[in-house]
Amino acid sequence: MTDMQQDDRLTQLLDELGPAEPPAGFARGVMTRIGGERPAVRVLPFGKGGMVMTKKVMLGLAAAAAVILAFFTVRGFPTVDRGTEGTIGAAKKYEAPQIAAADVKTGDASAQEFLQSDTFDKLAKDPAARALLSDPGFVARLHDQKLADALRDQNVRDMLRDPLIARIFSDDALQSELSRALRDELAGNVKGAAAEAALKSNARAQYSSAVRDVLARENYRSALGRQAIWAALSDANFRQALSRADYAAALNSPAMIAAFSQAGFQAAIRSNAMASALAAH
Amino acid sequence: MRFRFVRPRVINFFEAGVYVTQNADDIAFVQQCRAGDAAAFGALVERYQRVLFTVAMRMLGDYDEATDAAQNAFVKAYRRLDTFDEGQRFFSWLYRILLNECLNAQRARRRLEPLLDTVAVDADPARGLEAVERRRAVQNAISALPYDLRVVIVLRHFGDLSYDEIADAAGTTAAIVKSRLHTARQKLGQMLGDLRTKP
Repeated sequence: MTDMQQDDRLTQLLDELGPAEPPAGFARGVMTRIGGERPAVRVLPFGKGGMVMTKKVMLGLAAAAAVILAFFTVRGFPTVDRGTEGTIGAAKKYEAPQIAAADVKTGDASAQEFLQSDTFDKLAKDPAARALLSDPGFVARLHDQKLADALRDQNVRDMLRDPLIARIFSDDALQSELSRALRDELAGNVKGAAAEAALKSNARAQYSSAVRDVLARENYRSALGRQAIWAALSDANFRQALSRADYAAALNSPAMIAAFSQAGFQAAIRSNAMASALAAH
Repeated sequence: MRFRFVRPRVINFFEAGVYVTQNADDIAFVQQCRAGDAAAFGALVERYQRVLFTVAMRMLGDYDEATDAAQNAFVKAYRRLDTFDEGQRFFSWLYRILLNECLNAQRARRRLEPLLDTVAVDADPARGLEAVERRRAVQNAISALPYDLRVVIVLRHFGDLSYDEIADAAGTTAAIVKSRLHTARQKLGQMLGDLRTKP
C-alpha cells in the first residue's frame, strides 16, 4: 500500500469508529441538574444598554471615599441636629428582624420539595437513616447520581454489604486481580457462545477463590462493571459506613429506597440542604 | 449595535442522518435562557448531546466518564451563559468547556477501574467480532495518544471542526493544530500497524 492509501485507510478506520450514543435520559439528566437554576445574568458594558463597574471606576470611588473619610477624621464628623437624637432608637422597634441564613431558600426547587415530603419526614424520624445520611463517607459518594440510581436495586445493596466484596476492595492485590478478571470476562462476552462458557471456566481457574466467587455471580459482575459502584467501593470511608448493621437496615428501609428514586433527594444531597434540614428537624 | 455574521456550519457525522447545524437558533436559544427560560437550554442539549458525547467518549474511552464529562459540560455551560460571546459559535465554546471536563476526568481517573467497552456487535457474529476488535484497537490507539494530540484528532474527526475552530477550543494556533494533527495521524498509524496496511 502507498502512503496515501495507508492514510486513507487510517481515515476509514477512524470513520468506522463513528459516533457514540449517549445513554437514554442523558438530556433529562442535564435538565434535572439545572432545574430551578437561572443562568448568571450578563452585565452589559456602557453603550450596549447595560452598566458595568470597571476597575478604574471602582478605584476612583474607593479613592474618593478614602479622601472623604480622611477629611471627616481630621475635621470631626458632623453632629446630629438637635431634636432628632432619639429618633433612631424610637424607630428601631419598627425594624424588621434580620434575615437569618435559615430563612433564605436557595438551590434547587426540587430539593425543597423533597425536604417537605413524607419520605424525608420518615427518614428524619429514623435515627439510623439520619445517621447514615449524615455520614460523610456515605454522603460524599451519593453526590454521584449513578450511585443513587444503582442503590435502588436490592441486588446492588446486598452486594455492597457483602463481606467478600469488602475484603476484595480492602486488598489492593485482590482489587487489581478483580479488575483484570472483569476485563477478561468482558472480552469474552463479545464472543458469547456456548464454547465461551468453557473458555471462561478455564480462564477463571487462574484467579483466587475470592475473585472466582465474584465472577460466578452474574449480578455482581454486572454491578461491578458500573464505574459509580466501583468508585464507591474503592472508597474506604464508604465501605466502612456500609459495614455498620444499623446503616444497612437504614439503607434497605422503604423510605430510603423511595428517596433514591426522587430527583429532589439528589439535589438536596448536592446542595447540603439535606444536612441543614436534618439538623433542623 | 454591531452584528456579526455567523456562517451556518454542518457537522457531518459520517453516517447518514446524523447532522448538527449551528445556526441562528443557537443564539436565539441562548437569549431565551438568559431571559430566564431554562427550558430553551433543553433544545441546545438535544441538539449537541450526541456530538458532545461522541467527543467525550473518544477522548476518555470510557462510557461512564464520557457521560459525566458531557453532562458536566452542559451544566457548566448553562451556569456560565453570561460569559458566552454571541459572536462566537456556541458549539466551539461548548467544546472548550468539554475539553476541560475531559482533562479533569483524566486527572481524577482512579487506577484499577475497569474500563468496559461499549462498542456494538454486528448481527453476523464472525464479522461482528472482527469489527468490534478493530474498533476497540482504534479507540485504544486514540486513548494512548498524548492529550494534546488526542484533542486535535478527536475534534477533527469526530467533531468535524476546522483548524481554526480546533485552535479556538484547544487554546492554540491553527498552525500548531495542523502540526499536531500530522503527528497524531503518524502515531496512530504506527500504533495500528497491520490494521492500517490491510485494505
